[in-house]
Amino acid sequence: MISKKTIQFAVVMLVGFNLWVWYVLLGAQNTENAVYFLNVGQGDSQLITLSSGRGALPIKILIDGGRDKKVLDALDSALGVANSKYIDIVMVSNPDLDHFGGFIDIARRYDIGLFISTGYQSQTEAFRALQEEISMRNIPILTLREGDRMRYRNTNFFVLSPNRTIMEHEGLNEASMVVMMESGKSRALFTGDTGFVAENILLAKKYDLKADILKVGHHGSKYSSGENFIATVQPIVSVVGVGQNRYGHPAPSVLETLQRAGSRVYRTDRDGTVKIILDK
Amino acid sequence: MQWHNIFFFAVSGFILGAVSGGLGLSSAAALIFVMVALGAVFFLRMYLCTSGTVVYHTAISIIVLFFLAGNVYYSVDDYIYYAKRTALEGATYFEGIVIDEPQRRNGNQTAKIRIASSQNNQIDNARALLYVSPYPELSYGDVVQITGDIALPPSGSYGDYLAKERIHATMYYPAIRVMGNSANPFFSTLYKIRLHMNDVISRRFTQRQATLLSGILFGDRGEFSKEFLDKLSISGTLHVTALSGFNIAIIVFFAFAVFSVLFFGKRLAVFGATFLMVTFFVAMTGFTVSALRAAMMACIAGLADQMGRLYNPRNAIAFAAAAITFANPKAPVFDLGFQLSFAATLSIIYFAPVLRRRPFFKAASFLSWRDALAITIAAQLGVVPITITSFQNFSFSALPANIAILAIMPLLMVLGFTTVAASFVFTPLSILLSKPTAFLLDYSAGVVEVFYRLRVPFNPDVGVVAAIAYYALLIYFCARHSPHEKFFMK
Repeated sequence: MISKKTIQFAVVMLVGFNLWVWYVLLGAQNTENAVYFLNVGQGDSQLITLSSGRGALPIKILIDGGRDKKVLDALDSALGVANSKYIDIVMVSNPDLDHFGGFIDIARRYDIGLFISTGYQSQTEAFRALQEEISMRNIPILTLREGDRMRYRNTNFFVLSPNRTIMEHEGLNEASMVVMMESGKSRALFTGDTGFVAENILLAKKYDLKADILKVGHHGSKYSSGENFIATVQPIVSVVGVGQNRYGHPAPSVLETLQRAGSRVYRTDRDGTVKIILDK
Repeated sequence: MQWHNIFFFAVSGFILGAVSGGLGLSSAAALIFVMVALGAVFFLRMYLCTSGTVVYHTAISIIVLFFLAGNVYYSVDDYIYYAKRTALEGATYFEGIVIDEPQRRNGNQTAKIRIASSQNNQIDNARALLYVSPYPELSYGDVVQITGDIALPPSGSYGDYLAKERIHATMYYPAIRVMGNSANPFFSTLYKIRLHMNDVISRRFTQRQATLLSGILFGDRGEFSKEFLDKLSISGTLHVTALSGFNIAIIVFFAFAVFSVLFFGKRLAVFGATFLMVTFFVAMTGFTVSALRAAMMACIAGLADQMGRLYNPRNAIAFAAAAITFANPKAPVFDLGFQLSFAATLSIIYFAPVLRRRPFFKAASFLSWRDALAITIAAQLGVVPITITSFQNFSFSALPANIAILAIMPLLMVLGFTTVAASFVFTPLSILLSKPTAFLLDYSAGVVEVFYRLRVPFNPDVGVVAAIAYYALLIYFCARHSPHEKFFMK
């Protein structure tokens, strides 16, 4: 004989589970094209969600994964119920720990559709651990450099840097992957850890660098975000991926340059994860 | 005097002796105290003895003799600990072996090493706690060479904690070289199973759900964010993510139910299989003190349930406490988990029945919430001086929070374990089971969030005298109003 208490418990659980399922299903559909600058401490991680039509989960592209596991909590907060534990594309702009460290744990916990990098190899133990995870889980790898392009519906990604010359002659930071994203009328520029050298090369090549959103280069280092570069990009919104650090990031001179250019500046250490909805 | 009473007084004396050692009473002082006490008993027996008081004199004699034994046992253990610690002083090179699975946190990993030798001398069984870079990842059984500066445990609460954990030294970011692996095959297999379970949990659930479930199933809090830990602590629900007697009791009951079906109710087979399963589970945690304590408390509860009532819970609890004290005499004073666990269990066994006699708790209620409230109040009142003194985190919102969470905890644990177990057999079933588990995890996280926001803190200064007075009052109240007064006093 089933007790009255068991029946009451079962009914409450079933009703609760039913409501939860509807909440998850409806919440997952309610996605928009957006860029999230994730709060991962001292490091970079940007999540791009692209609506894939009525009733389907969004496309998720993660540029950089921060230094460590903090990115896992940041992804939870950003994606909410739309977190299907699948990321379509992860991109490493720069094989420095504060850009790829979190990908090791992401690879262990998420299914990943494609891994994109510039092909730059790092000899550190951590990078070897990432390569092992990618290989063990059979994640496809793609190398992208200057001139390459990806498209999904009305969103385009143009890779502006690096090219072979920069990779062979410049340091790790200057050889970061620089990507311009165009989604409808919005443009966002992701600059990795580039400094003055790469910025000047981009300026010299006369690329259309004008962007509404700028991922400020190298966490706001005083060796990046030159005045000419910022004046060319003219960002409406600039975001610095930064946490507690001993490098003086972001440099006051960089913040001043951005403000003089009329850009609204956000920092992940003070503002937390910054979400920008595209096409608005 | 009956044997069970002799046993109780003996283990109580032993535990009190170990406690006195932990609080700083030297063996010489303990000996003087015991001699005075025995002299007083002898005097009373000679000159003031009546037939009714003989039993008390015998009880006091047993207690004080075992008090001395406990104190001496603590002192010997302490001497050995400090001898090993001193032997490590100044050494900068070690060879050793990683003795359990390293904890991987943001920015580093911590590994416990059993040191085999240093450049100075052979050190038998000394242990060091290493904080090292997250990569390369160390594993259980790795044989390592370590070069770096050693830091001996500091005085104060952190030093006491390390001493309780039998850690003789710490090292921060030393140079480390892995020479090979000589893991015990039995433990290596258990740790691999545990890693696979963690892997399943982290892939099936979001990070927030996965960390909560790992805490509930294995007491693993390594990946909790500080913010979430604070919320659990202030809402009074942190204990559900510890390997508590409550959690293991659920495993015991579940295993018992499953094995009862599998073995057609053959009592011996069912008991044996359940015991084996709990042993494997505790081994999977590396036979940590907290897991052993929880398993013992769970077995007490399990026996109580299976036998209808526990003939003598007082002795069962005393036995568990004595066994842990024997294994680690520093536990009663320096292991907060030990104190919380025993205070809560004693309160649930003795104080909850007193509350249940009140008309308010006797009345029928939806999902028996009044009964759950009685148990929650008993557990909370049993530990409140300890939590206020140690954490300053008591909030009245802990009462409804615990009722709301503990109601679903058995179902959540069963679903969590079956989700993991199904992954060994049929992955789609595991995915299917993960959905209701995720619902219960989201519900639990929601409860924590709500009662963290609705917190009503109450954390006055509690001195030692006030705490003793509080517990004396609680014991008196239980003795006075217990439904089994005679049994309680016996």
